[in-house]
Amino acid sequence: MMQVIADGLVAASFITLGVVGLSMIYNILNFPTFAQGDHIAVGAYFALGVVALAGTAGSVAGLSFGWPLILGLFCAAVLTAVVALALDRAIFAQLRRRDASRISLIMASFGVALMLRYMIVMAAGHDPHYYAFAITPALNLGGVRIQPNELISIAVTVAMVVGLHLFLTRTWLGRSMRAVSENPTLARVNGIDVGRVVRWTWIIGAGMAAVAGVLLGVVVQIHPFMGFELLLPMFAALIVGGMTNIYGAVLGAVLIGLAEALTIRYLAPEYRQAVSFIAVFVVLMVRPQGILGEKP
Amino acid sequence: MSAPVPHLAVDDLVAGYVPDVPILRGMTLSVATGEIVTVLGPNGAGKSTLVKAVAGLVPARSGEIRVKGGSIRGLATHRLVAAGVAYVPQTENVFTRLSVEENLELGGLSAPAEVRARMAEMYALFPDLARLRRLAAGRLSGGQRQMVAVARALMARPHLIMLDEPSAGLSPKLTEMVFQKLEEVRRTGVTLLVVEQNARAALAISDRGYVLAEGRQRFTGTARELLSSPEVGELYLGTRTRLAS
Ligand SMILES: Nc1ncnc2c1ncn2[C@@H]1O[C@H](COP(=O)(O)OP(=O)(O)OP(=O)(O)O)[C@@H](O)[C@H]1O
Ligand SMILES: [Mg+2]
Repeated sequence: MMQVIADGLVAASFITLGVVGLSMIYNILNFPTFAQGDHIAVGAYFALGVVALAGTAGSVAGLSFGWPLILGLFCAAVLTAVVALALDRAIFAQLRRRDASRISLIMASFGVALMLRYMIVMAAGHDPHYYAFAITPALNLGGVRIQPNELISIAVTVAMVVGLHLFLTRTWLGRSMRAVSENPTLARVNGIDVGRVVRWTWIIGAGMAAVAGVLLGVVVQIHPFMGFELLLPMFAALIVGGMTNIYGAVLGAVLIGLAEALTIRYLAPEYRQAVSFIAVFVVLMVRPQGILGEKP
Repeated sequence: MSAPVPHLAVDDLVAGYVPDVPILRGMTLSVATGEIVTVLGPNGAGKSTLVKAVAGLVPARSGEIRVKGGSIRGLATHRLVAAGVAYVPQTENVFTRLSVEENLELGGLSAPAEVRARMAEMYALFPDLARLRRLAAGRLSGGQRQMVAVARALMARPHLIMLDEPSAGLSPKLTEMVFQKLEEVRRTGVTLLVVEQNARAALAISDRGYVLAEGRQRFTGTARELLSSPEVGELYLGTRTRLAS
């Protein structure tokens, strides 16, 4: 059982890092972006590029990767944020200026998602890639077998979620974000530059997605559809936890991750994708606003 | 000697939500420094649109808006605070998911260093809020919420505050309390523009008033003149019997 929980938390870490940004973008920009999955893949490939340039120099403390990947992680977060900002400026900002409906924004994000995905295919091909081929021995923590890479993924995710919580509650920019997410007009009246908040939302959302991509690449593999495949569990986490609440999204991610691990263990890996559908179905029947969501 | 520059001057303002549908059709109004001025008018007259236009939330198509002589027409709403103008909207005027304290902190965003001191002043002005500081603003009563909204607006030390129906939905007792607070606010050197349906209570603390109808100024005068004008009373302040009661 402990093994299932550990596996579930590993799966949850990737979902969490992706869904937190999805939730922030939904709450500030008022639409769920289908491109968030592909931000994950874009991040993974940016890091791959850095690793290819810097070489796979020695590994750090029993992990399968070395400092080039750590450098790659930072570069990936920054570059993915830049890509998201550029796309916002070129596409979403234009739509907002014309008071586009939410459905137009969603469809546009769908287009952006496809564009990013096939740009990756054009640049790096369909075949999977790896940051490194080193085999690392699994750790045995009281009977639970876990790869050092997986442990790092969980640790990084926890650190980023705690960091984000402190950012949202303790800093002016974070509080401005919460204010804009609730009432953009009142936020403007208060002197908050909503444009600036929107830019930081993309930076944080896409940056965290890039980190998810790098970690997923380290633990599993890198391929052009890696982020797209996370889209369903991310949306499931968002709906299960509650669209209006970022902590709900984290809770939703943990639940979906655990449910996936349980399915793989006791049913069959093929049913993994079905878990998200069933979870969403159950929540929509019992509590449509999600576990921590507010009634509209 | 030239006339003193009005604190707020709205001059022949045409404004509306969509092009070619003006809601304000040449509204003129001025507020002198230190005054409390009330804007009255029937439902849908454009009172809220007037303060929204000053706040930059509704585009001005023509005319001028000046604060202390300088034009603020076309100024982005988020720069209004820096210009010393605060605005309390008619509805949704607090962040319901944030605590009372966080609401006040956000109000003081423009001067983070002063937030602590300013917040203490607000708790002195609204003692009830000190007790409720940790509570989400969405859980407060209507009167308490209105106090949070006013305190939030005052956090940035504005020299002009515009309030859109501060007594909406409040009991007569709470209404009286809110207007009493507004008088106290004026004594701290703040100029007030108040939109109200509750003409009697608002004019009781006001120096002057305007009656707005169909997007234009219909009457203007001192508070006393407006209160005693039968025409104004009958047309725009409700019935005379209500006024006299
Ligand atoms: N967001 C909006 N978009 C389009 N038209 C609007 C909008 N808000 C108000 N209006 C219209 O503008 C006109 C004036 O509305 P406004 O809210 O300024 O009236 P008001 O005098 O404040 O009324 P009340 O006493 O009911 O608050 C009304 O005809 C209203 O239908
Ligand atoms: Mg109104």
